[in-house]
Amino acid sequence: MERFIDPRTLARVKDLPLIARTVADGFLHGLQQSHQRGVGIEFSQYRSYEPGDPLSHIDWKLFARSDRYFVREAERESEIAMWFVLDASASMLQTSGLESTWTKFEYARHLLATLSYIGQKQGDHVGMLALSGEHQTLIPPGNGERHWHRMLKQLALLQGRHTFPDPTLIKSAIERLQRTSLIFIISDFYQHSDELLEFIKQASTSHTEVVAMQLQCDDELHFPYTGAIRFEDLESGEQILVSATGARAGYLDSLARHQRDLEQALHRQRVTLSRINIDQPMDQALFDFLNSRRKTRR
Amino acid sequence: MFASLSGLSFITPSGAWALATLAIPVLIHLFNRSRGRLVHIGHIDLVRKARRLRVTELKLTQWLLLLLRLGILALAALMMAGLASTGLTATGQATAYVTPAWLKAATPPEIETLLQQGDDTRLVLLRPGFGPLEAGVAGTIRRSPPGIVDFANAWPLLAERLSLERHTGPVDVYASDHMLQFGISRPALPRPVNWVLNHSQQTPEFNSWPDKVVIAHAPERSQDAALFSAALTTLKNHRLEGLNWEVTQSALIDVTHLDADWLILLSLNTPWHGTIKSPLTVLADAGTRPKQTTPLQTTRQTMSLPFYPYTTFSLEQFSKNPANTANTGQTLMASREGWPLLQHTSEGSLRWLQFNSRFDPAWSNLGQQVEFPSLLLQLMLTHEQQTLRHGEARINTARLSLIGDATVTDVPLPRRPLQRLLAVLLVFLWIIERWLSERKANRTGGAS
Repeated sequence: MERFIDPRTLARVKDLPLIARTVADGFLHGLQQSHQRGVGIEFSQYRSYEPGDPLSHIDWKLFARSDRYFVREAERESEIAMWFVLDASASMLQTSGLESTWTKFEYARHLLATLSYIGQKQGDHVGMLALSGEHQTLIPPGNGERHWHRMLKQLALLQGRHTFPDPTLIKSAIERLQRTSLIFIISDFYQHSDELLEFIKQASTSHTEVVAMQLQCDDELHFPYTGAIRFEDLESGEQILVSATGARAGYLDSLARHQRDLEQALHRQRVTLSRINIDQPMDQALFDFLNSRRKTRR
Repeated sequence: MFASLSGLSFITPSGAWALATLAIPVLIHLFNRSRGRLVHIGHIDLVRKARRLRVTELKLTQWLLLLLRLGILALAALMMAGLASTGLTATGQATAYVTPAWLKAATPPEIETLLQQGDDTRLVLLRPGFGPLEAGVAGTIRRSPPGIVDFANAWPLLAERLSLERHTGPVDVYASDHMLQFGISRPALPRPVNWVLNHSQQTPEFNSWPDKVVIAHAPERSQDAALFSAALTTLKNHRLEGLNWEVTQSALIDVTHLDADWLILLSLNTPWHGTIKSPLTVLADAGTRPKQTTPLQTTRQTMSLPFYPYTTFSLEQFSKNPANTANTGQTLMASREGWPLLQHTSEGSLRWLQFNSRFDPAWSNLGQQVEFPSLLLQLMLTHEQQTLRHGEARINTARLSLIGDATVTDVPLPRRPLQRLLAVLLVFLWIIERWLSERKANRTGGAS
């Protein structure tokens, strides 16, 4: 466990690419040590350079060592785009207490950066769709580190605000997802009228695989509050004064019911739900996530 | 407690400033109520379903705690201010206080009439214990030997009673016109009362005291005459109610037809040469008659008089010296060095008193000294007369209210500090506050 990086440590580092690389390298390093290649999204192999191959595919480091040209080659011949759909609504600004400065949104940004880094490192095309109200940020799938940096630059500009949009308003964006792709939806999955489920329903086709990544935090899960608490909804601004100790049991019941309903709804759409606690180390969460995917595939 | 708020007072009124601390819990309450701890949450529906749980109870508890804390601070402030009560009990019934002296002086029909009022009026005997007046008690007092009930402290008892019990009904006080029953100390009464006085028996000596004085003065001595007149006014107010006097020029005096007990002569010229109406006492200044100039052997006696506005004073009175009576008369007073200051001579029915003020400058302004009225009194009355006079002093009904007012007014009224009651209340409130606070903390998980 000690190899995992504490989220509070990461939170103090403001360099998004650095964090993504750190987490991903550590994670990939762990994969190699444990001979778990292939559990990831994709992996690649090397072959000798042949005339006609793009020069950008040559592994120059390997050339420096072996004095021969090798080209990184994806195992999968068919190109699958990795789409990251980021819920950039205001509810994603929820955090656990004052000690941690991670909000769900920040965590989601780092998670997206890390996953996309792994993806692009292995030669996959990665794209991003961030949704916040009527505002949508779309980065079409692309590969290479330059593309990844461009995506991160857009990612850094994003702010959590408004609510998740009505899927009927973003049909054109959804249509782009419907092509052969692996879609990660990073969200807290709090919705007002099933808009997220509707979004998943529209994005799911026979060519797509949807992975739902639900971000949660300790305070949200355990409701550790005491005394009179004035809760304010991050999206609507509505405030409710509650005797927290008395309300705890009722809250946890409501939460359990909400989680169960969500699981069932996603299960009906054959969507894998992965719950990630933002107060746990991110590389551990990634490891658990990819490990569970490997088991599912087998 | 607050019903009789008008009967409450503070021993240390400045301590009431501590009441300002009441603002502290109010501010804390308002601060806590308006702020609360704000927590942002992603999906408030989860909380809304659990909202009804005990928020009302929480608010109610907060208000109760606020009231309790206000009460505790208020009680502490009142304790610091020394809240005291001047009357713990109250009565709306008509009350009649009866002095034993009244019972002794009253006739049986008068007592019977009073006792018949007992149905409507509370009859209280004005002596320690404030027992009810019943026929048996009244009879016992009436049969008691003279003198036993005469000396009492009816006035301070009345003042204490009126202070400790709030009377909203009428208050009658039945007393004799005998001054002794009221005692020496007469603090101001906290409320007016209706006086019902009867007349006690008068002693024969009452009428033997002087009641007519003439002040005859030379034109240049009018100021001295005014001083004598002022001294006589004091005597009339406090000792000799029947005293009358007139001020006139000495040249206009016709001594042969003078109708007076006393003549105060402030002139070197004797206004008569022959027969005078007697008996007459003449008080004259030095120079009128020959003087005794031989120093005297003296003994000193310090005197004090009750009921006098100047509560303490001393007058050195020199005893009569029989050895000096041979020549011109008797020396009544002398200076410390033995010079005769006041001499007494008797010529038939004429009594002659003479000041030799020239021997002692201090005596030349005798009339301005506070002791002067009492000196005059000593000259006008014999020692026996004075004793009798004080013992049998009567109340001047018209001046009854003045008697109370004339006493020293800064005598504190009896007050009962309420510290003990306040402390018990404070502890009681504090226990409730702790219990409620702990209960709230337990049920809300430590928040206060």
